Amino acid sequence: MGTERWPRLELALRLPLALTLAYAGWGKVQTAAEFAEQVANYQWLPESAFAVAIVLPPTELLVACGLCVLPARWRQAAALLSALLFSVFTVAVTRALWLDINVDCGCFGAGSGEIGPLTVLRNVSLTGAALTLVWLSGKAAAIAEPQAESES
Amino acid sequence: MPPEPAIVLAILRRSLPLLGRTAALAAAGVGLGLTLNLAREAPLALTRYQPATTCELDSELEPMVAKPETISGLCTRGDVLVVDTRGADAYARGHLPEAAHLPCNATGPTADAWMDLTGGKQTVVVYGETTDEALEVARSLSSRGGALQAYVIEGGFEAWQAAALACASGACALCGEESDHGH
Repeated sequence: MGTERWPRLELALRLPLALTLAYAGWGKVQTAAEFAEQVANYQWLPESAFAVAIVLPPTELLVACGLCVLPARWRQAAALLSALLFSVFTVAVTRALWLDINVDCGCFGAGSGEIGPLTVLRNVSLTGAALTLVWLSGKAAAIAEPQAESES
Repeated sequence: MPPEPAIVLAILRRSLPLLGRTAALAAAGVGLGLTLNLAREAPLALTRYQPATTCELDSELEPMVAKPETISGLCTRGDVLVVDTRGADAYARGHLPEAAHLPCNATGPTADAWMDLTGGKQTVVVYGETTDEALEVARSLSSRGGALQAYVIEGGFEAWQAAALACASGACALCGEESDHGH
């Protein structure tokens, strides 16, 4: 595959990921108190639900913006952070399903529906997409900044 | 065969700038979150999460039905009140350790008296002969506002026994307090 395709592939992957994160973050920012309840319902470190509700949605929005507007090296970092977030979501949902805890997903704010195997599948797919984006962003950065790449 | 330390070091050295930028973005996210929270009309407190209390039956407080194996993990916590909704005979033959006896036909004042025992407790676990029977009592307890979260054992006491989990038998350990309230 020609190296000129890396930036286009990266663009094709990061825009949907950025939109997903922006949609998820925006929904939660508007209903922070309800989101804290949803986090607590997962029964995974429920005492930290307020901290998660305060920090997570703006971080999702920031990462979404970063994927859209930051230079390639920083986009790679944003992609890595989104992969970490999606990994944690995957573990939380899988754990809740494993323990037979019946909770609303809270993935996109209020009214996201209950968790199920499809939620896990979606989160695993998003984690995979984000990890692929980390790799593609590295390629795109190497093309955009060959000098910096050779120095590093 | 473990990787050569030199290779690991080289990989780490190459990854450090990326990890640093990722940490910087995460820190910026935390800062943005704290700033936005302060800008809210009613900011969330940066304290240990406590569910909101209510005196009304709320769909958000709908009891959670869970399998005995899941509930058994809860029972070891100190903030859980276990409630048995079966008849007195069934209770005497066997019940969960330290289970309070609150049968379905208990009067409102009796239920209120039992709710006093939940002082400081975060969770109520309810079970009966069937799931539905316990659900009714769990909903009733939730609506009284004393219990912040109610769980119901799926399949009732029979399922608990079938799962070979710990049981107790005999008279109700808390019956002194129960009878004090006219039960």
